Amino acid sequence: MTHSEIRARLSEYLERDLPSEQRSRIGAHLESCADCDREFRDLRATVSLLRGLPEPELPAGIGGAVMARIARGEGREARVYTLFRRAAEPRFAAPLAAGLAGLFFLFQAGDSGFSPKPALDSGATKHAEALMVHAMLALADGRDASADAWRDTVSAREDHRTGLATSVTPAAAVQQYMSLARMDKAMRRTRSQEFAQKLRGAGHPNSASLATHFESRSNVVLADWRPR
Amino acid sequence: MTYELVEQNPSAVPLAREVETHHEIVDPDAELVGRWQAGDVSAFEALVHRHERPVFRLALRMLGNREEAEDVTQEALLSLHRHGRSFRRESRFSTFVYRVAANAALNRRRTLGRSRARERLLAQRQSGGIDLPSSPRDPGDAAAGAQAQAHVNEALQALPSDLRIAVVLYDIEGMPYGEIARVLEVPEGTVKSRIHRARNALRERLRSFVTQESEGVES
Repeated sequence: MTHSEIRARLSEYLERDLPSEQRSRIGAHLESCADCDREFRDLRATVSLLRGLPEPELPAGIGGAVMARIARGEGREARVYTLFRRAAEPRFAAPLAAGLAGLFFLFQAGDSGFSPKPALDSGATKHAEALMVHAMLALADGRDASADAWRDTVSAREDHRTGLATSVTPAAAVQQYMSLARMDKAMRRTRSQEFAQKLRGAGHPNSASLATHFESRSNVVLADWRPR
Repeated sequence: MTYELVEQNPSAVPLAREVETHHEIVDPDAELVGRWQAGDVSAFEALVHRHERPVFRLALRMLGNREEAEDVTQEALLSLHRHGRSFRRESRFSTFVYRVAANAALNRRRTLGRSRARERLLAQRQSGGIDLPSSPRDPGDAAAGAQAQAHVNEALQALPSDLRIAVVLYDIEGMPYGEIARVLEVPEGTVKSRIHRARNALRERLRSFVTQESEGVES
């Protein structure tokens, strides 16, 4: 090992982060090389200085100030953040992903001539749409969109039990949905309008504001969605 | 499986850290975190009092002045309140606190870097020494101690942020490599490399000072 190689490894040597064979070689070198030994002692002195920095005095009242700010409402989670965090929870993620998959298949089945993959039948598509409508409304409300709840609601509204949610994994559904970016924009706008109509038809207090959102978009991008 | 107890000469490398051992996470904050996540505000207040000191210390070493550090400490603790409910107990709560604090300090550092006026103010304060930590315990060494601290602080502030945070967490906060990797969300190898690079840079910057010191000790 050259002098510069030894010097580059002195910090690791100090921390015993090196294999024993390298350690012994460096140790032997330090005993015979005054310059490298000086470097090593300088490094050790540097680390001693760092570790010897005294404990700083804590400014008075930090904790009290923080609690007062929280009491004024500053430490709350932003509503949008809460919604998206909740969207990642399994009970919400499954119906959302199924809905997204449904939208994907809905678009794939469009009449633009863009149909690289086989689309599901119209029953499956409607079922997936219903899942998504239900999941989004539940999210906006903070209601539980757990499996039983959405299955009951959806089956009452739509009589299409296709098993879509179990045949398409959420990850695959989202991945497929992402490939929508390749699709024709005009067609996406048309489908968004249709989806907005379905939201309006859901007869929920929040459905009108959600529909407005989709009507103003050329496609349904979940990350753009904000409650009104 | 058998284990062999290997005795090492403790004086050979006096500053070397104990080898890290891996055992099950026992989180001393678990009970308070559970109560807080269930809605008990007083539990969060207790967590704040428990963790405000390390958060302030980290912010001070990262930013170099008390005013900014106090501000960042408050922001970090508010951020903890904002996002702490998503803490999933996959690591110690203190690791999560350090992660929030490190992010707050690094963000502030970037903001400061973008503001020339504030940067000048920071430099003035640092050169004036008004942001030095509390005095050393021995009053006879006060001047030398203050000078040493000023040198170290100045050298720390001259490091790039990613190297500074690594060496602060390791050498000042005394955290093991694995925990630093979790705080910074980088591989352990990256942590080690940053620490060693930071120390080498500090040694270069403090060379004249530490050489005098070690010669003084020898003579």
